[in-house]
Amino acid sequence: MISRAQHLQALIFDDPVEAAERALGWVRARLLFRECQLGRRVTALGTVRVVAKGRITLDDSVSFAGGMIPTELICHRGGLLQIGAGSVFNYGASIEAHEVVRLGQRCMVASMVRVADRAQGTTAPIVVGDDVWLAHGAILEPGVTIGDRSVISAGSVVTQNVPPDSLAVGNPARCLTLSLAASAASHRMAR
Amino acid sequence: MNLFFESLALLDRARHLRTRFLLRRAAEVGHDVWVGGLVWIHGGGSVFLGDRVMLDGRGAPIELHALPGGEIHIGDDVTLEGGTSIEARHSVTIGERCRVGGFCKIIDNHFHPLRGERHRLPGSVPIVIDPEVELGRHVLVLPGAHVRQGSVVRPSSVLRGPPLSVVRPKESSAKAME
Repeated sequence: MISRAQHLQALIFDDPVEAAERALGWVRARLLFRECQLGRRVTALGTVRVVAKGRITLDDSVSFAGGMIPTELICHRGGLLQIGAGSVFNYGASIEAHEVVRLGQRCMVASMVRVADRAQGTTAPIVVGDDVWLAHGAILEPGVTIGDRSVISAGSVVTQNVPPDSLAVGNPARCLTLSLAASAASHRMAR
Repeated sequence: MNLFFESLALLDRARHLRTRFLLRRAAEVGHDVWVGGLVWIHGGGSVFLGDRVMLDGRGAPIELHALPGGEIHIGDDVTLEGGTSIEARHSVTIGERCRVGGFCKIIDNHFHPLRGERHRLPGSVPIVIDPEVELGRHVLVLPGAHVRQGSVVRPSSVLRGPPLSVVRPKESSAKAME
């Protein structure tokens, strides 16, 4: 077990470029999310469009990757957008909350993922469990709950609840059971 | 009138320089390649562009991401529309006269395994798109997919390859992983 100071020292000396990038990402996150409730070590390595008219909370070590399309975090008046510790976002994801959108810990949100709790006039809270992987281009419809450790495959449209440890595929998404339990045990905390 | 033509020539020259700049990281660029908007070529791999390729990144930027040891081959007369992203760790080949719609994603690697440690990179499976294929908007091409000649793929389709045909990463990429 190494201490935090040793870890920091190793990072700075072994990979100064990455260390500088992360420092810059931390500064950028402080600027971008100044109206949000922010945990420690939140980094934004690319542009993020933030509209915080409601309440946005980002827990520790949430990170946003940079890319060709900016990520969007939109929280309307009276809404709550909560993102758990260690979640990672790729570019171009869009999370929109009118009422409640809650992401668990260590979630992986791929590029071009759409999560919005209002569509076609219906508003219902979206709750995503821990260790969930939303793959490229997945869309979550309002009122959907996703269980822990589930995987939403690329390009699926989720219209119904997804139980824990399952794989959701297709449009509308069907759920396949997968013994993913091993993944949680060995899942390394995202940086 | 002379000034008019001179300024046109100057604009042309500026456009040429801009194209050269945007494609500076490509390993090989054919002649008469047209670039609109932004094209982002990055990663340590190699990107080969054929003749008369059109990269139309005006609506949204185009990403060509060849990771170390990865190769992206884009054939002659191919058109890529905006928002399209191609990522290769082994190889992605797009045949001649193909047309790739906006916001397509072509990846030869899932980047995270379904089971076990989520941050370990799984193996790649090369992607081949035959000549004269037309991909609609938002099409997803997943590892191992082989799109046959002349196919017209409808928008928002997901194309995937046969399971369990993973190839070993090339030597250079194995070194890069260490």
